[in-house]
Amino acid sequence: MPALEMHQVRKVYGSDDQQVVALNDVDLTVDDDEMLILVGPSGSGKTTLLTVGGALLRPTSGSVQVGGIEITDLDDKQLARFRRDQVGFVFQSVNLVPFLTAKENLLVVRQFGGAKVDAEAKRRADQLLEELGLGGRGNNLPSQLSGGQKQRVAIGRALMNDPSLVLVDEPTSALDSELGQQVMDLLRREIKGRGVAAIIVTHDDRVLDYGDRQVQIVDGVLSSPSDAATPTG
Amino acid sequence: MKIGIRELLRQPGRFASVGGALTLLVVLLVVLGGFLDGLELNQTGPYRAHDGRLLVFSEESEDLIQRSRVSEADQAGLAAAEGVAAVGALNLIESTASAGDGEILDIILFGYDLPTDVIPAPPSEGAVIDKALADRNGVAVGDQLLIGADAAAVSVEAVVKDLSQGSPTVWISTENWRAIVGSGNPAALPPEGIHQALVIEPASGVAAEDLAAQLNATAAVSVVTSTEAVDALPVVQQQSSTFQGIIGVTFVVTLLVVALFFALITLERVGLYAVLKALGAGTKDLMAGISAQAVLVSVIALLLGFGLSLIFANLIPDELPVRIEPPRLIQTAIGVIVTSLMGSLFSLRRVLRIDPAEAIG
Repeated sequence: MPALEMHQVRKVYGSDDQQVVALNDVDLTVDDDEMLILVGPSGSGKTTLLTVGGALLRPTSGSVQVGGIEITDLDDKQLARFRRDQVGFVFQSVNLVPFLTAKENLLVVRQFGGAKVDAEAKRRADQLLEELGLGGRGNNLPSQLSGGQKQRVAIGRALMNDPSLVLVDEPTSALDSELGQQVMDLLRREIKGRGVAAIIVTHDDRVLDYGDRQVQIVDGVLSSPSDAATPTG
Repeated sequence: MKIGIRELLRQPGRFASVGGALTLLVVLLVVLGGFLDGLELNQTGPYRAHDGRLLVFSEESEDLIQRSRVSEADQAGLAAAEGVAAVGALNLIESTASAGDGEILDIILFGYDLPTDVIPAPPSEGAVIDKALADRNGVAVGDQLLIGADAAAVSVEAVVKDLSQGSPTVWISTENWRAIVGSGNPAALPPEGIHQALVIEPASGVAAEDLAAQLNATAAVSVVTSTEAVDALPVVQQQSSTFQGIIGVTFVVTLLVVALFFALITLERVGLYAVLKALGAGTKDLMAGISAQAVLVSVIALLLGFGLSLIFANLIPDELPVRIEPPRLIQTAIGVIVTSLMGSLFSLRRVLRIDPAEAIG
């Protein structure tokens, strides 16, 4: 079963003559262990595709299935629960909670919806931090971490709940070339090692080779960089 | 909720402004309540001394002892009623007393028959005085008081707790009271067989409220509990309504302070809340955190405010009737916590409108 299946997805902002078509009848399938690189110029619809695929935004029309669940039918509460359980996000500006330690930032996703952080969750957070090379940094606040370390904590947070789909927005934009490479190596290792699907949005040419497949988006329309064919499958 | 508490504990400086404002408001609420209680307690000691008993006034007196006249026939009728253990007279007059040093003090002189939980049985010749008179004027058991215009000498036989009714109180037997008033101020003495009020002691196992209802249904007098007698006092009604009004406004200010603070802090946190929503937090999770912060800040402000209020109450002169009573503190604590909780909920609309998609941009 594909991790993400978008069919004839259209997202339109504004109304009447002010309408902007951000996604234009997009068809996209991401397999359950596939790492997809999404590239495109500014304003092309990359972020909209990420938000629609991540159940942050409902499309104007079309079907979006994540892990076989049609998410366009879910209400706000169900979408929040769905994101918590099925989707992992790594934001462009990292966006760690500034007053929580690295470990607490991983555990935060386990606290929503009245859930309790149990010993198993703490063990998993420790294990993830260890894998991410942050074994000794669990009790550090984000302000005590470097940019690369923060990015790694954000990756750990995205993986904490064993999601079906990880969405990564510009992971290297704030990092120098060496650090960017390290983060991408880590991201690929963690994602592929877990058999999780991922979409990585980037402007950075150095990132392109890390994916299993590249897809380009221009004016809300998807195409393969090489042949402009429909990128489904 | 845990996230909110962690933020408060790790970034307390962010909450210093609202905590400081709440602490000052708590001090204001406690001091206002202290004045209200002090003024009320200062005016109602004799009635509170009769808790668990019933007081009887004439029907047209509006339950004010100075306006009331009841007869010994009423007394006999009540004494014969079911559920009544004893009925005694209660009379008062504003008078003066002089201790040995020659200083003349305003007092309220009570004549009474029945002991209560606070006042012992009336001494045959001597007097019972309250703590207000003993503390303020250095009068002790064994001292002589010269009462009224005739300077009738009575010996102090017991000191009971503060039972002030505007002035300190002196308690003597009804017989002695009639003798002193008849001699010093005969115009104020009720006719033989008439008293200003009566006190009923309910029989064992009979609730005062039930007995009052039973007696009011049949007797041609007004039978009330001590609480009802206190509530009937015009001075208590006026003071209570004035202070309750000020206290109510202070609670509204508390609500606005908390609401404004959390509205502003929510505006600051829109980005963070969008990220948390994107990660799966519901509005309920975020509001639980905000409300937990509001409650925790108000609890800390209450502890600080209570401490400062106690210091303040000890610093002000004894003449100012501030009484900090535990029930008032409990009432203030509940009021501040509930008000803070309500104030924090004003952010709900803003939190609801935060779009998780903003986390990605």
